[in-house]
Amino acid sequence: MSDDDYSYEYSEEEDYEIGDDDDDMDWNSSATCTIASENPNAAPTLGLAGVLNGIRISPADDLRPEMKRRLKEVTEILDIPEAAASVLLREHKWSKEQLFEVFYADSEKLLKKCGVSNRCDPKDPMKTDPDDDNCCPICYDDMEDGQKMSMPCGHEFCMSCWHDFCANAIEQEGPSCVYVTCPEATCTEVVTEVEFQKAAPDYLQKFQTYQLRNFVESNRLTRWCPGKGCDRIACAPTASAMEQDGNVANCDSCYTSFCMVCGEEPHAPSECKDLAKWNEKCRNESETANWILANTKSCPKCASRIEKNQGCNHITCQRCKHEFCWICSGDWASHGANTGGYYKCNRYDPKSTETNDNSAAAKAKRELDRYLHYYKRYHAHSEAQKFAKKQLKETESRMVMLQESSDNSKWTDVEFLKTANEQLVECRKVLKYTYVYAYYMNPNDTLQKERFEYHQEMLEKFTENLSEQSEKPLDKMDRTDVVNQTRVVDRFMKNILKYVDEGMEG
Amino acid sequence: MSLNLAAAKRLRKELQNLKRTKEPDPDIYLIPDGNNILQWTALLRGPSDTPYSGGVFQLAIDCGADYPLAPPSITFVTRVFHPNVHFRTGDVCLDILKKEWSPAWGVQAACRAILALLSDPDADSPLNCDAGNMIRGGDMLAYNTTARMFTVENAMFLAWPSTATTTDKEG
Repeated sequence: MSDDDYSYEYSEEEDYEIGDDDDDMDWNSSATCTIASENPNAAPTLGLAGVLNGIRISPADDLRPEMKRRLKEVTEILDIPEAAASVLLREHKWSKEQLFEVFYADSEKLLKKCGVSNRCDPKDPMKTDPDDDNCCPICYDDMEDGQKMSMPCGHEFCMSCWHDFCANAIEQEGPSCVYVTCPEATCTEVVTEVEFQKAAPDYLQKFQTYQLRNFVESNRLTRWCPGKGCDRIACAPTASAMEQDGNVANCDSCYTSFCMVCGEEPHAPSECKDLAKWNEKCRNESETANWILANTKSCPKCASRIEKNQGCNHITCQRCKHEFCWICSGDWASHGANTGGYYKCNRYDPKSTETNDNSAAAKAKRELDRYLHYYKRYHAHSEAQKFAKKQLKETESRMVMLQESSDNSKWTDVEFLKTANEQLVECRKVLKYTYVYAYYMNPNDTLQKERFEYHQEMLEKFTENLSEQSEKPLDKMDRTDVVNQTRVVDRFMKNILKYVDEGMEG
Repeated sequence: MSLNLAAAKRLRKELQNLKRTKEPDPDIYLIPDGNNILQWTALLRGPSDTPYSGGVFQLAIDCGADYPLAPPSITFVTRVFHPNVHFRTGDVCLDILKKEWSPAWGVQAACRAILALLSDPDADSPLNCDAGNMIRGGDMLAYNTTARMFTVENAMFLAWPSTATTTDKEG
């Protein structure tokens, strides 16, 4: 699926390796990921990979010099106008190497295909129909000398129509305005910065911004911060950093963190390709899954509808006081370790569904069951993560209340609440992606599967504990307990990530 | 505002050119709406050697304020069975009316393109899947007879107007 997305005509996309020097970013890569934790209660910072990975966050404009540098080089080496160079580079993902290779193979074909042949070879511009009176083909008004313009292709239009044409391109086409061609029907000459400068200087800046945006998007080493309305760019120092799973960038402007490789939320322990498959699957299955997973559940005892609006999976029915697990609807009493039972909710047991039936329908049903098993848990943690995030926003006021409620307590005495909550968000996130990971695990390696599920189970259990603790009313909250739980759960989180990271040995 | 004026001005000139021309296109009749120059009605003669032959098809042409920078929107008013025309809404799927539009084109050029589309359907991007499937399946007999049937049923009622504004008699 993802392989098909790249259909580059000239070279094997996959094999293409960026050399050490050329297409790499040219800046002094100073590691800017600093870990700020003055708070002694703070959970140690989270990412295993992704710290000190050399990823730089900078405003989009900082990339302009880099873009100019490449343009200049291509302009000089190929001896073509800068405007043509920008079109050619854009068509080759801003990779000089790739462009040169194709250029030297068949420059004529390339220039024609990219719509810059006239620009690079202005000797024989096609003139517009000589019979044509001096009439602008857009507004049908007569064109006065000096009030008309043509690109190197020779098609003339009046200045005012050129202006409107450029303005229209920006406003209607948006980012793809950089691909706009000559207004003349079937002419493939590409409109460039030069024309914008002459005909629509009021839109030049916007055009340049789109050009830069194109540079960022097609560049292998850069990625826009996915934060809403954020214009920061994450730049990796080398191509390999863009390929290494789990490289996380943290935006210093909107504080979004994201995977450098795929742009999604950091998704350890699952891999980018699994996550992409999973998201695709969830999109396809969403209707089935939604139908099955109504937002509410009935209490298994008294059947009153219950909406889960809190983070913890331990549900107590308001009506009959029955305690049960939100995920499996089983009695909560069979879940805690202290009652001798085990927290079985993370484990998909194919034996629980009938396996003798090998008809296609039964297989499909088993597969759906398997998917739903993981999806339900993924979804539950995803919702819990959202809730924990919301709670995190309210934490500050809770901290103030807590501080005021006891005499002599300092801000640092209540900061544990925030730390716990941050930890909770992080754990929910990791838990969410453990189910993606587990879904794509080799089902035949039972030992690995069991061990992974053990780690998952521990993390889940202690996350639920912490969730419950941190939601307690302030007067019933035990600070030491919360601090300890936070530490413990952090440990389990790191354990599972480490376990996967080290190739699930031992 | 100014864009709207530009569109109206340009369309008035197109109208002028249509009236002035020595050789009007015998297969296309164009007339703007009495009080809105941005809206036109077109009549097309179904091309001979096609199942549309002998029919007169009415189109509604709607030019936006940003015409001619943006293409006009053209729909069939007469029901037609054709892979690139929506059977119910009459929408036309034609690249020059979308991405490939050039402001150097006008309403008449757009109508010519639609005539060409009637002669040469593109079954690979169908708005009418039934018609598309017939052609893709190689069942030209089915396509021709169905399209013919709808032509006879729907497109045989409009008389071709005698060009009222000039003394020209159409041939």
